[in-house]
Amino acid sequence: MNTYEVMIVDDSPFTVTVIKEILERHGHEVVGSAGTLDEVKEMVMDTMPELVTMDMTLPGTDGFECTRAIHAYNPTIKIIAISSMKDDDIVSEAIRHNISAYIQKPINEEELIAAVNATMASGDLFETIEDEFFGIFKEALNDGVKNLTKTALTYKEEEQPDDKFTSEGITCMINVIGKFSGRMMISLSKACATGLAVATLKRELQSDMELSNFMMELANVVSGNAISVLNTIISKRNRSYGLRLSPPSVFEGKDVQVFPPEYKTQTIVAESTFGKILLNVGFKRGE
Amino acid sequence: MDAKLINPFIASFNHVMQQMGFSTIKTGTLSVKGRELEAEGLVLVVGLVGDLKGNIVYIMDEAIARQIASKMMMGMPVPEMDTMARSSLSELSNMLSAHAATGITALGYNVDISPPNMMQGSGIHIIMSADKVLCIEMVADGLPIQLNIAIG
Repeated sequence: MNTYEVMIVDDSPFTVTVIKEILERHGHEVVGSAGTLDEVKEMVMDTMPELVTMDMTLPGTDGFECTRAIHAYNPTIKIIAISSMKDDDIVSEAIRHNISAYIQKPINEEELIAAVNATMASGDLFETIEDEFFGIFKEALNDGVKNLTKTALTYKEEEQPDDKFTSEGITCMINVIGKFSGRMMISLSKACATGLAVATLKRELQSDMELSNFMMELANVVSGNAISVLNTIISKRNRSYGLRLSPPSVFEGKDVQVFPPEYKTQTIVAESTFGKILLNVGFKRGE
Repeated sequence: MDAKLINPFIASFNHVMQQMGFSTIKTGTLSVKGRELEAEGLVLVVGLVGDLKGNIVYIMDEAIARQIASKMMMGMPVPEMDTMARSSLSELSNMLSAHAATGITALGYNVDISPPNMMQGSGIHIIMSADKVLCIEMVADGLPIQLNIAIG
């Protein structure tokens, strides 16, 4: 299990000791503690913790004001609220303040450690996904085309910069929803899609709808396989973070511009027996 | 598809567009289409998963989209669909879908939405995976937006 540098915000020396001893028993390093807003600001800058445990009632301030001060300095620092007071309103307010977990006093050792691990895993998990997802989708497209059409793909072109692209004729989209939301798009010419569909069905197509249905099937196979691999990686870390897929939709037309979403995506062009296939995939960090 | 699902979308449109500064919101024609849609201009797609699965497709004319973006940006002129205008319309589709999802949850279906996807072009032929698509024409201060709900 990873260990983290933690700062404790609490005005009670007794509680500070309790939290410190629990964290240290599990290998975490307590880099400092603070009991007022000024001490919080000073201590965060001096110690640069990865995680802060936050008491919600403090003299002259409260946990929300201190959280805002910490996130103004560095929004990536994770906060776990620890307070004797807990109700729906305060928890909702905590979520709005990007507080990762809320624990009620008296502190239960297992609950605190579970909250620390879940909070820190979420950030690390995105980095793991971010490093691996595109390779997984590329392999899934390769496998999907090979299994359906019995033809091979090669990735020849360099990965494209993340910008809008123009559909060559047909674009199929599937949304990914879960802790990390995102999308997969497969874009290709009608001739290429037809070639792939005919190779799969081993006969001529009977209608345009048959072509659309083939594209949806290809998108389902590719994204389904890729998401299964990602979910396996995720489930080793946190069972509640499974990713799910929306049904596919197909967009046909010449010169249809597809804009980048408000998160980073990656694009690559694959060369198939029937023409080029553009693959665009991206995920956004969870809230 | 449960016909009651229309109401959260209409309520969401009324609520969100009023918050954006639109004063007259009207519900236009309501129709049930097959799985094929035609679009001119801007297309925004938001995915839906959970107890119900599907996609919500917002379609608007490009000139209308620029007027809506302008209104959302406090009347700033939007002569072309630039990054700022696209971002505001993307956010609008996100807000409309999120409010509708909250309304759907109140009906007893637990649903989550995806971030929006945006496309632009003319003569776009869209094929949804649901067999039937519910189409609502909503009008905000004379500006029509087509909501297509493909669930099932």
